[in-house]
Amino acid sequence: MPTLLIGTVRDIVERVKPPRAVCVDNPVGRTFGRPRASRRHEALLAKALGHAYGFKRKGQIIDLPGNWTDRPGASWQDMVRREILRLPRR
Amino acid sequence: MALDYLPILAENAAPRPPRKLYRAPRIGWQPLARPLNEMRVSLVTSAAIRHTNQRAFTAGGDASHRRIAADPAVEVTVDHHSPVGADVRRDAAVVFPRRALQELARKGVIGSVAPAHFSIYGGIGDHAAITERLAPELARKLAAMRVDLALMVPY
Repeated sequence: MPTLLIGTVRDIVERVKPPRAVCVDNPVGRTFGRPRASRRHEALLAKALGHAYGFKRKGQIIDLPGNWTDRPGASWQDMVRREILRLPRR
Repeated sequence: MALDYLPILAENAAPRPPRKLYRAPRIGWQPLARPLNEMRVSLVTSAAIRHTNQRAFTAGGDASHRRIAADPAVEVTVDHHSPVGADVRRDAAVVFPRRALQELARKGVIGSVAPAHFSIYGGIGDHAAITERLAPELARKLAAMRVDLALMVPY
């Protein structure tokens, strides 16, 4: 079965080496963006699918810009770290 | 900027050693059989999503799967206990974009959406359960629906 992985955790994807992977620069657990943003989800999914034929070798990762907009003073990278470590939100 | 998750997961696991990542002995490869606008596409997520009338997933190595209706109007719930789960519980489409896929089919970007998608609970430590039972069963079910491309969305 041909597969296309669409994920966020690039350093883990690099190690696991799926056949075709698109890594989106969005926070883990929110691959397609913020909740209830269906048009943005669709745009990102279309971009990822558009790369289905772009893989030149198996195990290749294609990077895709994210669609996540940070709230003022809080990067998503910091937010995710705090979520995983169960630290209080800023 | 891409975030490195492995150091955060190691910090979270400490003082226990970090979880070992499975490395497949070889990278699998199946060529794509038809153009994107003729493909039938299905979603496979590891977010432990299910319909409310289906048996709940259990944390810690549940290697079962659930068949999920492709119709986004059919409600789903999320059993995954991840600490990053607030948004997916608000809207499962952040990792399981059934409506977006349906729209792409309507617009002719893909050929069609498979009648069903699939969900598992990620973090299964027993790899034999995946390679010998779960993955072959999912592949069989996807093939039976004449799926051309399975979109794997890890959680």
